[in-house]
Amino acid sequence: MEQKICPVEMISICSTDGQLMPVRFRFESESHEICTVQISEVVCVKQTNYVGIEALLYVCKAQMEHAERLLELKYTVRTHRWVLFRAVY
Amino acid sequence: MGIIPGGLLMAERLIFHVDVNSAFLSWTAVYRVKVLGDTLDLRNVPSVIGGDRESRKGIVLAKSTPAKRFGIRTGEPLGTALEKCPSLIVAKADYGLYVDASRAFISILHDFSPDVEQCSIDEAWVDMTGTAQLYGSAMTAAGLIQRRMREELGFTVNVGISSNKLLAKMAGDLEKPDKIHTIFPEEIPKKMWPLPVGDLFLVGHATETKLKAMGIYTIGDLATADPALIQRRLHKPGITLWHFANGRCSDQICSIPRDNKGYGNSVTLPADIASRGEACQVLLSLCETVGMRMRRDGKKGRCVTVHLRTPDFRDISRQCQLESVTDVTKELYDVACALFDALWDQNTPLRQLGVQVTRISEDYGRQFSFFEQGYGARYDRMAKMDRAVDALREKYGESVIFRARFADQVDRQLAGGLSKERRTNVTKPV
Repeated sequence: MEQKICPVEMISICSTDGQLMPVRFRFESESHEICTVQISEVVCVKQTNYVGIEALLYVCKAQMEHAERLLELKYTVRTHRWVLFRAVY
Repeated sequence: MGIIPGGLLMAERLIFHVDVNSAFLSWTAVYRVKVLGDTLDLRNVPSVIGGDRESRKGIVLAKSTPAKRFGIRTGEPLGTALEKCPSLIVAKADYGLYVDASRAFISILHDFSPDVEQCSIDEAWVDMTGTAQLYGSAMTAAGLIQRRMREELGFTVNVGISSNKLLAKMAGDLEKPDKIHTIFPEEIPKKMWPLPVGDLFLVGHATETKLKAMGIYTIGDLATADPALIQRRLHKPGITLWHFANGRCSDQICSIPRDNKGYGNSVTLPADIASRGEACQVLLSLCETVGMRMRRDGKKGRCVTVHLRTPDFRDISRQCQLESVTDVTKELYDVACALFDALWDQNTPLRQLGVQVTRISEDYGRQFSFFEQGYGARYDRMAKMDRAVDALREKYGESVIFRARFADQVDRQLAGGLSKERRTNVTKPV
């Protein structure tokens, strides 16, 4: 089975020292509803450069559907796009 | 180690050849898994990267290891590959992605040594001489390069280690994928000589046939053959191959790309053509591209070659030496047409046409001739016009100006070469 990533609209904070932190995002669900998600904690950030594509992978905790979820959100530096890469749990 | 004046130890040359395994396929596979989040890794299933079938460029550009087991070969038509393996996954090439991956690949190599010579989009030689104090033994350094490529960029590479470029390249090709091999001079008889002569660097199909006709089947046979005999049959390149078979190669690592030895472009046509008018139009568009590239590099050439490919993949070509060097599109076109007329039987359909200019020089002087027909005084004016057209195209785009002949098909006025999105200067300006 192929897992499709989901593009998201993101509100993020750019700190004075250049750190980028995701705060809140929204995306269109499979049933075409707009879901807004507040990020409660950024657990870790990893910089990747697979096939030369520079990206930042954020592992975040968030409340979704009345449960805590661990999500991987990815920011591609060159395209400035955020995606919901996968839900760990 | 040798000793240089002053008592310092001089390290022996240590050259790495680093080659991405199934480059296009690996890069697409990593992109799909690591960037798009797919779970299917193309490297683990029978899959190929294919050209565009609709424009008849549907050939296998790269294949996975499982696809190789079905006998699928790089360069064969996609139709044949699908006959061999009906479940074959065909992925489209993404040149923008390959350029990014190639740049990242070369960038990592530059972390290991300042002397990196890129020989294609996915291969490079690295001069690692004197790095033992930094990285340890050659095997350790090669392992480190492999690890960084795998962990940071997501794909595997082969590393060949030796004391010159040729042996490093041969070592890199010994076993794939994700392997490190050495062929130092003392290992040549054991590791290189038993290989078929066709595996030797720069031995193509035609040379292999000639060598086999002489009873030379392995690289060892060539190495121990009489050089005089080789020279008689294969001329000067034969002696180079004889030295190669003995592991001798004096080429230095050259970090700056070398000048082109020739400028050539060819185009596979969407449909076969069988009229002189159509063929000449294609030749004109090829001459436009070749001329523009030469003028951009400030080069001129003296020898023009036209090559034709028939639908049954038969190649024919003819060349002509000019009185003086040129970069003028019109002059190239006139010569190309004359060559075409001498070459074509006016009947056989044509699948591919190509124009190449060689014997390149930077000599801008032109030897005018009493016997030259037409060009004498007009040459300078035509050269000026070409430069003006180039400047307009550079500034406003390629379709801003075109010959009336291409009025109804502006997109075909510059045939051959890479499409705009693929022109990236990652290896050589195209």
